[in-house]
Amino acid sequence: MNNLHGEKQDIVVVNGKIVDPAELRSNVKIKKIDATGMVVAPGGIDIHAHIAGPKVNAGRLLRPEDHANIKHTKTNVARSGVGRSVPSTYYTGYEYAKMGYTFSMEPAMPPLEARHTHEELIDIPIIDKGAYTLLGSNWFLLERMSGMNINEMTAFVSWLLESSGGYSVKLVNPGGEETWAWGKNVCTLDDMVASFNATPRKIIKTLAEVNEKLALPQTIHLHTNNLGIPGNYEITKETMQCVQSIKPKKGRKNNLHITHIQFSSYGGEGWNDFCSEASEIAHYVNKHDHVTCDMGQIIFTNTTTMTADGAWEWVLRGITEHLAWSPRSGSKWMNAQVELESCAGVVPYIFRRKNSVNAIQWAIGLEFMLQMKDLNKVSISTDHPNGGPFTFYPTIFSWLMSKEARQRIIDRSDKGIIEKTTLNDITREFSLSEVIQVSRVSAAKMLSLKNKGHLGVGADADIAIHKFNSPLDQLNKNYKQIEKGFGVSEYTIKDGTLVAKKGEILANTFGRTYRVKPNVPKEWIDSIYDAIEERFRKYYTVNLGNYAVQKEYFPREEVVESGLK
Amino acid sequence: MVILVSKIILTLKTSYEKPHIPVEAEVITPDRFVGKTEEEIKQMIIWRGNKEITLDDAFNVTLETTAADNLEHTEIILNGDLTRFKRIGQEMSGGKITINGSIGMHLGFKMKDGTIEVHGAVDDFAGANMTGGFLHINGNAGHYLGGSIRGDWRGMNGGKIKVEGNIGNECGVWMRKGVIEIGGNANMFLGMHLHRGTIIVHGDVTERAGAEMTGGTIIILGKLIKNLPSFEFIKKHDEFTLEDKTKIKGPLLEFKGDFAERKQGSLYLLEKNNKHLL
Repeated sequence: MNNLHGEKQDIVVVNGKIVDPAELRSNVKIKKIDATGMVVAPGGIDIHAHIAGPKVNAGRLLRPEDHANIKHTKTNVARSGVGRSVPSTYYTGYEYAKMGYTFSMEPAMPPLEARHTHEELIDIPIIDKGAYTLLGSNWFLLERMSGMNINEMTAFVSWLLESSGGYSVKLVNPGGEETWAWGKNVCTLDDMVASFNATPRKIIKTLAEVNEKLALPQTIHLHTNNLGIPGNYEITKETMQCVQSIKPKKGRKNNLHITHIQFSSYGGEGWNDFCSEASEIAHYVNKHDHVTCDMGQIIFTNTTTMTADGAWEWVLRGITEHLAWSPRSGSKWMNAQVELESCAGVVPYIFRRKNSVNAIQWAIGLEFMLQMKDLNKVSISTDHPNGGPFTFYPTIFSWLMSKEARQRIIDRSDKGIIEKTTLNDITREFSLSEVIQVSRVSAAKMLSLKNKGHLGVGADADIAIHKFNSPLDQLNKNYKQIEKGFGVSEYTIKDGTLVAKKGEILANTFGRTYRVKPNVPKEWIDSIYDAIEERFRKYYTVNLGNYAVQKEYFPREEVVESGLK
Repeated sequence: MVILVSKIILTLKTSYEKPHIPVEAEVITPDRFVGKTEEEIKQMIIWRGNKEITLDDAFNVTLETTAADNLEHTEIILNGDLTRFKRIGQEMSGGKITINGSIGMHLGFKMKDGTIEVHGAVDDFAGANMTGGFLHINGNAGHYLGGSIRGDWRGMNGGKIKVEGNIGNECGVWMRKGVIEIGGNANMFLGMHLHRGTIIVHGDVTERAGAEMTGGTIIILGKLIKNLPSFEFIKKHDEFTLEDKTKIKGPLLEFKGDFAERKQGSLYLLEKNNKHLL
């Protein structure tokens, strides 16, 4: 962010903030960390990882075998933990800290389950965290889509974000969640949502408008319609085009964030002619400034898919019937509906190199990333745990930084990678700064975090220090060292406290919860309050009084205020 | 020729029956003991609840004969009532464990090779997720014999289990390969979710044998009291030849099922005991 690449300099931290070395008085006692010859970077920021909430917990219940073999005993500081693709809460925090990551966002919180989500977030130590509120199929909004009373909707979104303690607006398969309650799905942007006079296009456009009107720190965070289905790149492009004319808030260029873009860049008409359209999507994102993305890379491993897109999880369960690793009657699975708000599904899945679809999926994520011109528009993610556990981020770094590392996988995988994607022809290798950029800096910009993602004066002292057993300009030839170096940080500093050293947790600190407080005129809220109350009296299983998450759920918080333009 | 055998004898000092807290004893395998001195073995740690105890606290440890570091000729002999001791022989890849007494859950969990011989009763999940070797139980066994651990859809994948006594429910659940032979009677859900592999029962079976099986073979030589409605009678055979060429004298009735899944599993019943199912 400050345009520093590999300069040697001192960083001074006072009270959890980075300060100007000149300001330091000479008589104070200081603790020195010698990082000579190491790479100093801001703490990593994960923009999209399912780490807490009812769906993650359902995943834990569904997969005891995921917990059976991975155990971490407690130490004097750290608590014990289990699990790999759906790890326990404490272990999630430690594992991030060991990798030099200090910030992570839970991307799918149904407002009704906000309490549960925040309870789990409290139990994740060290890292800063937050959650996105699901708004894609809320009855209150769907009902008002036909009248298009934008003020009422703005008031409702602001009320709901505040009462659920969310950070931004998340849309998952907009309209599809509600339609799935009737056993159907929406397949184009102009399909009608079951029993409502609304279409996905209308929902996306309206909420993007509301989002910018409220000047929220992040744009709408969108999981596209038809996710995971061959040929879905067309709907992805259409979605990007449909919000093009909406003016972003001041200080931000984009008005749409498409998450795990890899799952939305598929070509072909069926699984037999499944192919990559990553170039097409990358071309659009390169040309337009209003879209940002995260990667959604897949890893060849045993993982648990979980999303609020219940319809897709049902389709995926059907697909597993034909896969060698799964029982012949299909993988175990679960689906759930959250009253008037959302739905969810969980299916265990094993990505295999020799499966042509999986191999192409692997290539699409990298293909997209390596074709991006402006790296401020992309961030690394695996959509943990959908594409693979977040502990594999260092492996993704090595694939981005080294053609040799990619080639090794291509040689051992299904030939679909060579035939159906262009990855084999791409020779670009990211530099160390570029990898740092896509794993920290761009995510901080997308989330409008002023004190994160850089090491300038005034930034939070979240610092990751990595050591590589290889000259830094030859890392692309020693890709194993990239994995090792980024996999375990030499030092991780969070808010000025040394929390991890060489993979050992040294302090069990408590991170902040980030949430927004959108300000709208009081009379706007008053005007919809009766309607909200009636809704709760008639349909909800909880009382309105028990719905909003109160301040006890935010023992340490960072409130980002926003207001009407 | 003299074969050098290293014999480690562990005799339980006190009873661990009460209070009812299990002991996690996954260190007791030939793989971990091979090449260690008596003193090193004594200092190995097992967990009882949240308390660490050494093998020396729990057992009288004696190492007989000084042998070369050869896994094949390492034998562990356990004496005493070990019903609270779990996961003995976990992931062992050779050697032998002999148990004189009864033993707790997860015996031979994920065992790869070697032999476990038990002279007594065995608790649940014996031989769960094993991939090879031989588990011989001279007594009764509990539930989930040769099955999979909780949640795993890929169970026993090779090896052989032989039980002389009776067994509990859900024997061979999610089994993919290997042979389970039971001398006595079996309880409900024998070979549930069976995918491949063979289960032979010499005694009687209560009911619901082969529920949701999608492949593999179940042979019942005693009486199956009640068959599932989702199995269809195919034909009568005079005899049946197992993979290892041993022949089972019939006449046997062949059923196919489970129709609730794909009807690719075979259920063979001895005719003279099972006429009531036709």
